[in-house]
Amino acid sequence: MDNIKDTVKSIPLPEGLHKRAKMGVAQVKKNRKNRWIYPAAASVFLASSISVGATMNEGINNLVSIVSPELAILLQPINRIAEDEGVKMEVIAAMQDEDMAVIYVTMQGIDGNPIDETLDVYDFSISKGRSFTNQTVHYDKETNTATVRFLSFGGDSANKLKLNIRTLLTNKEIFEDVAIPVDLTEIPQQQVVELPEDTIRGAGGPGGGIDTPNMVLAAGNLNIQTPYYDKMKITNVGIQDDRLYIQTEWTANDAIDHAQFFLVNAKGEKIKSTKGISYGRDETGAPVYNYNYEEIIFDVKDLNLADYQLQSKIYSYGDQVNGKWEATFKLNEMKGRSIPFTEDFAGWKAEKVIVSPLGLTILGKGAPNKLEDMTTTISMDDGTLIEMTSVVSHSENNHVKMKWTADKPLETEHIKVIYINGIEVNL
Amino acid sequence: MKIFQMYEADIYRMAFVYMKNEQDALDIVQETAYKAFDKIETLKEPAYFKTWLVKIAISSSLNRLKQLQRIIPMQVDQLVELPTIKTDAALSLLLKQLINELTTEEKGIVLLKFYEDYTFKEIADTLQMPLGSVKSTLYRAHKKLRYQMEEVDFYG
Repeated sequence: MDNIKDTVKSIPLPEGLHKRAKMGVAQVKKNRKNRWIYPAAASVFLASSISVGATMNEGINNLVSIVSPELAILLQPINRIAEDEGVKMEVIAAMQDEDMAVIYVTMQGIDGNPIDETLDVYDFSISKGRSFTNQTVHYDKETNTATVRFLSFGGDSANKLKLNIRTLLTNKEIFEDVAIPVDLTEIPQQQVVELPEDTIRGAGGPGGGIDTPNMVLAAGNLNIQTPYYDKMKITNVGIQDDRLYIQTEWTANDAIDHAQFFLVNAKGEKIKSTKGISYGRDETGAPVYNYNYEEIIFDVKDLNLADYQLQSKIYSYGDQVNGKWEATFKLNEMKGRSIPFTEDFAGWKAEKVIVSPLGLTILGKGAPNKLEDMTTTISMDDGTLIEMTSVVSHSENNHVKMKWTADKPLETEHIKVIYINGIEVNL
Repeated sequence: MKIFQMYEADIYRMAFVYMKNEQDALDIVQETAYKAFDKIETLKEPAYFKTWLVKIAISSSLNRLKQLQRIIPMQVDQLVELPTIKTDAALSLLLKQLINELTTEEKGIVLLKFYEDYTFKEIADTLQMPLGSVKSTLYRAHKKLRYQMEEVDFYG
């Protein structure tokens, strides 16, 4: 036992350890100051209900009209509801095989709350699986309801699933090639100062991360804005040591909106910034821990700035809603057909194939190091060929689980042959 | 802040065993500090501050591992960045085994038992696992760690 203790104690401590702990504490102070940003949760109404009869409710009827008939027939009605922050989540239907799950959920804004076709479920988890995606597949303006499809891959058998949603982003806009009206021929030489460590939220870029000196201009009072986006303004610009510093202030102050900045010449050649530092300033301009400033730094050595224009690509999310939408539900597992399949691939060895309506799973041992060369095709009884177009692979503890899916469910009883890299697998 | 400073090394090292690299382990330290101080008013018994931190650190590590898997289907071995340890080879080998061969569940139990000196009951409470599962998981982990270990008191 002592040697385990000694072993763990032998892990060297990095220099930045204490700084990172301090940043965590500083973050609490910052968030407490800004909790008003999100819809007030004085009394959170969180309801959850189960429909035992699995009758066809309005939600599933609507869903059936959205998805293909082949898919609709496989879906199991769920009807679980959770409501928080003026948004009603309903798990409409779901399906799963041994390692993959598909969940259809509607998110409805009630009492004028913001749900739109750009809905991005930003923070969520599913109890089954190791990798997840979600996509808004439909939006009904009349009822202010978005239908979102969640996919989970790499899971193990489970007869109960839990979906947990924490953050929604809506009203998303991307502004490309936005010219920022800064006259690059008249940038003054300016002194820069190092930011106090505890005021920095993050820093990154090829020019160094948070561990390199974080130099910024003094708080400026310029007010240069693009007409396309009014939540960001340039407050100062300056040159020091062949570096161009652009000081931006973000009035949205929520750390979700962001932008990339470029210097672009007449040929359309883009020079990316070398570093961005996210930090905060208070009303007097003094640095504090916050999200409301970003210093953009370009390396302009040997560059004739007169040939360039400052441009940006701005990602804007109109609304962020933090809440708690959770649903736990039982879900039948579609059983697959298991076929032995022994074959050596790059870095791993296949042992068996399981085919279910959701796709084809190849199980094996090792660690795949080359997936791009693999192809999987299914030949049906009637001679049609279905190409499996998407693959998600997990490798952990020497076990490989590879899921191949097509653009429609598989009719497993009509599969004649599976071809994996041209190798025939007969059912 | 000072109270956290007392434990930040332990939190970092535990996080490192889970996350396998310095940057992610530092993220966990920051997140643990954040969560701990954000909810400090919910801690009813200050004597349990460290237990509480350990719990937050473990749960943050598990969540982060899940998030990482969500972003990029990955091979665990690709993430291993073992630190340079200027100690004897046996320690280094044991650390590799601890980091690479144990599951996340086994790591939690081994760390709490041997690094934090928890009793089985305390481990079961902290990880919200049945006592029997804690013992059987530790036994499994013990078998994986191929080194001379003294007899474990499984009734501890």
